[in-house]
Parts: sequence; structure tokens; C-alpha cells
Amino acid sequence: MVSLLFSILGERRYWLTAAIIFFVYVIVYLAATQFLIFTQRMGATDGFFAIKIAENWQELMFRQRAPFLFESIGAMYLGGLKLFISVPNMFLAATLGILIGLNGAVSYYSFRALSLRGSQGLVQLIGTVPAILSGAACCVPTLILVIGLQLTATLATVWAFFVPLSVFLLFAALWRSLRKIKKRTL
Amino acid sequence: MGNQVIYFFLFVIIAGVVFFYFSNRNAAPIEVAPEVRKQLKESAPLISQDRDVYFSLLEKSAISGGPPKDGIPSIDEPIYTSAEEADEWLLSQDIVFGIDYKGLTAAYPQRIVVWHEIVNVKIGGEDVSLTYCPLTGTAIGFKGEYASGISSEFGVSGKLINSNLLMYDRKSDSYWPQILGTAITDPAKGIRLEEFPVVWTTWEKWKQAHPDTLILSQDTGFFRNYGENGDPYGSYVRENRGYYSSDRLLFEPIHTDSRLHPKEVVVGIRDAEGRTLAILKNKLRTEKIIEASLGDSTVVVTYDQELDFYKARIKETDTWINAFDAMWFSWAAFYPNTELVQ
Repeated sequence: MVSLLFSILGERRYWLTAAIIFFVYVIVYLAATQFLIFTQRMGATDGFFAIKIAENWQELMFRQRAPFLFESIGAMYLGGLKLFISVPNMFLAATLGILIGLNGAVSYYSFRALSLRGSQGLVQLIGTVPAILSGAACCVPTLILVIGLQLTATLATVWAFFVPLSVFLLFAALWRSLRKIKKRTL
Repeated sequence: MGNQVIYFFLFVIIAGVVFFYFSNRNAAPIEVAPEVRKQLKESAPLISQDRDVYFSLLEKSAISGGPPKDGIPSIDEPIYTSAEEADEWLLSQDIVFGIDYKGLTAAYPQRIVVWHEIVNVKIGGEDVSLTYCPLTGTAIGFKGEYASGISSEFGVSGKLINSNLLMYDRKSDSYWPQILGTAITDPAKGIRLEEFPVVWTTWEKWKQAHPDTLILSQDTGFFRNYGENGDPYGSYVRENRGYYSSDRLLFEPIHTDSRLHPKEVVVGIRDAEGRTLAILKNKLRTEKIIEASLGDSTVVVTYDQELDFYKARIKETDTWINAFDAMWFSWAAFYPNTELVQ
């Protein structure tokens, strides 16, 4: 399976697909959880480019704002763009981004090289949603209003496991796609 | 070989999930000092059976809003700047919570406080806390000393009752719903916090009334989106107000009352005996002065055009009584038998 995955990624068009999806997803994830924002009038002290790290960054590093959502230890300013730096969040975003990127590349390969069409695209898409929503319960609740949900104790508990759920769904979808390709090519 | 790699990845993912889930560096459980427990045992009032049942109902209805304890971090060492500096980033129509208490005149921008919900301040050696719950639209000032010799800061428990902020105090770890201002769990159960006035107004109006005011700086010790569009619930400035005007609630309250739109702003007044009164804020704006009954007493609420706020007093004794803005649904949920002037 792993060698099959690497051989697919050996072609430029597929690793490029994975890379593009990875970057887009990481940006969407960080924006959805308000760790990447665009804002004006944030104060005169903000220059065009600056990095600020909190003095007590060790204390903040693993402090949770919500399940699987961690405090920022600093901020990077680039014009009106602000990135709140949280190492665990970036790690999570990167992990999910890699899985989604790989899923995208493998799907593209199945479709293009083997003309395989199936429901795996849908599974992969569903897999990405919980992770984006994971930060929404506590930190971007308007998103929940837009969706039209009312939070109950049960839903809040389930919500807390959206990130691992995403990882599991994406991993399962990738495995399933690779198995299909292997069967087809044998 | 291929399967071994997959098992390895699975192991890494599971280990990562477990690590992230248990890597919570938030507030450690509070060890209540024996002398605090003893003092509270002596200070806590006897609670009637009805009130005890009510407190139990509230405690049972507390649900997690998502963040863990202190996941919404209170500001414990506020830094202030001048009005001129704040003008560089704060809009004149931005909401601020103003306090003018024991020599400290300061404004706390809603767009900062929305991310922290509690600002713990020391004024002349006295602990006071400015508290704000975005989901119920309530800003209330509490004094930290709630029993003889026991004074505390407050933190955000992460739980909500009727969508309202459930605070905890850092001395006894008792839980205090903000609107109630009374502890519903031991060891402080039944104790009511003293309050001080907090003015809900705009930056422009506050600045005109208090030109020398200080203002809470964005340097809170935490990194959040304190910008114009930073409020995660909506906006009091933009036309699209989001949660603040929507008729939808994020959490189901214990009791609902359809006499008003759930987010309609009422002026809530309650006394130590549990008597309550709500006045439609827009009616107060029109009539300027409203007199209404609060049990055997009469409350006079006077509208202050300059601040678009009000003051309330008990007519018979000419004493100050706290009155604060609240979204109707939350007031009615905590006080189902409230009088309503509309």
C-alpha cells in the first residue's frame, strides 16, 4: 500500500495535487478556527511585518481553549493578515492537511489513470468537515447558528471528538482507495 | 512491510489523539484551604428547601459550552492605555463597559472582553471583577469579598446555565451563575455577591462623559482577534448582528417566555429577597423615568441620555440597586415569575 502511494506521488501532477489541497486545507482550517484572520485597524503598534511571542509561551503552549484547540503562543503580522501561532494546532492542521492532500491525489489518480469512479470522494469530503467544524463549538459559534444547530450536552461531547473522527475517516478513505487501486492493477 | 507501516501510522494517530486529549494544561483543581471552608460554613446562609431545589435544578442544567475550565481565560492583570491611543483602533460606536469606582475610571471594550468574559481588577486593594456574558448580553460588576476575610478572583468554568456564564471563584471553587450572582454549589452555596455599577454604552459616549478615562489595552497576555470583525458571535456595530439579533439560541433554556423576542433587551433588577423586575429598555428610552414595584418597594429607573444607560434606586430608602441589560430569554429563564414592564 505504502509503496503504491509513493509510486502515485512519484508523478508530478499527483504530488502537486496533494500539495495544493494541503495548503488550501491548512488555510481554511486556520481561518475557520480564527487562527488566521484578516483585519484592519488593529493598532498603531502593528507594523507591516512583525512576530510577537508571549513571555510565558511554555505555559500557554498546551493550554486548551477547547478539545483539540490550543492557545496561541504568539502572533505573526503581515500587513492586515494575522496568524496566531499555536504549535499543536498547526501540527493538527498539517496532519489533517496531509491526509486530505493524499486522499485528493489518490482520488485523482483513480479517476484519471484507472477511470475508477465511486463513493470514496464523498467519504473523503465528509472526512474533512468535522475537522473544520471542530473549532466552531466554542470559538466560532455563529457557524453553528448558520448550520441551524442547537447545542446539547450530547452534541457538545460528540463535537469534542471531531478531530480524531476526521483523522479516522480520512485514513479509512485513503486505505480504501489504495486497496481498490491495488486490486484493479493486479 | 506495507501493513506494518500502516499499523505504525495508526499507532501514531491513536497515541497523538490520546496525547492531545490529555495534554490539558488548564486550571488545576483548587484545593480549598480548611480555614476558607470553615469560614464559609459560618458565613453561608441557611437556604430554604425551595431555593435548594432551585439551585440543584440549575446545577443539573449546567452544560459545557465547549471550552474547559479557564479555556476562556479571564484577564487577571489588566493593562490600560489612554483614550487617545485607543482612538487609533477603537470605533466611536464600539460597545464598552464603563466603570467609575473608587477612583478608577476605565472602559473595557466589548470586542476584547468577549474573548475573556471576566476581568479581575484590584482597586485600592479590593478585588473586583467585571463580568460579561456574550450569550445573554449581561455585563455585571461583582466585589470579590463574599465572606468576612475571604476575597477572590473569578474564572470562567466553561459551563453555561440558560446560556449564561457560570463563574467559579478561585478561593472556594464554588460555582456562581452570573445573572444570579449567587453561589449554587458548596462551600459558598447561597452566598450572594455584592455588586457595583457597570455602564453598557459606546466608546464615544463614555469618552465624552469621562474624557480622562483609561481603557483596557489589547495587551491582555493572550492572542485573540480583537479587531472590528473579531467578535465570534456577531456584532453590535454592523447591520448583520449575528447571534445578538437572531431569534435562535445556542442552548435550550430551562424555561421559555414568549412575551418578547428572545434577544429583546430588558433592564433586569433583582434584590436579595429574590424579587425581580424587568423593564423593556426601549420603553425606558422613550419614557425616561419609570417607577415600578419590586415586592413592597418601589424602584425608580432613570434614563441617562448622555450615556444611553440608566440608574436605578429604591424610592423609599433612596439607595442604589443594581440594574443591568439582559436578553429577555435569559432573564425569563432564571426568573420565570418576573414582573415585566413593557
